[in-house]
Amino acid sequence: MIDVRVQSGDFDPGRQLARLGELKKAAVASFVGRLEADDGVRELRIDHHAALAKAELQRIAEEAGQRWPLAGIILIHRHGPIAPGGRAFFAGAAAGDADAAGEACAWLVAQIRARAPFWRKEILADGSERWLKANERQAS
Amino acid sequence: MEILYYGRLRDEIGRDREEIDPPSHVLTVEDLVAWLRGRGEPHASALAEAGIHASVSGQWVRGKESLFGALEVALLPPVGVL
Repeated sequence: MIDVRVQSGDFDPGRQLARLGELKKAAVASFVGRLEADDGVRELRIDHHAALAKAELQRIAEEAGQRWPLAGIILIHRHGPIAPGGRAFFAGAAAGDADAAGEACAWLVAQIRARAPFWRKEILADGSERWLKANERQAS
Repeated sequence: MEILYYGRLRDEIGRDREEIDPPSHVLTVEDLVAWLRGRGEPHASALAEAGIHASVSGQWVRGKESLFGALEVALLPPVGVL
């Protein structure tokens, strides 16, 4: 089972963990990426290419499914305005083997960070704006 | 051909899309980016950064890959910025 969502609204990590738990496998591993920002940042805006983002997240999930014996994968990525510290993405994997779930989840996070077509703009307290360059900062 | 701009490219070029008519020697993503840069500012500066990617129909199209038949091409800044 692969479920990929690209959405503007927030998500409930507990609800996603419950969905993976419904698969009744031995292990569920998950990660929530949040947007860390400097004190002077008032708001963050995530731009994205909708079709490519959905397709790339789907490809990442399918590749994970080929690498590890996973029963379920959930990937969620937000776009649009997000407050500093807000949730940006969720990666979760369920498997019958704990190592597989953990390794797959870590791999999913790394791939999302490296490949997913999302771009981050920071709006500062004085109203000025700046785009982050690649690898300048990452969701924690 | 319609070009769509994303991320900082949209702000720096000052629009989110534009209709262009590239000449016959523009065959790949690299060709397209070079040709757009050659048209002057703001494209020259905006597209100067290494790692500009392209997408056609939801698929990545890398630098030396062909844009044959593409009616709409998205130009994207480097990813990995969250």
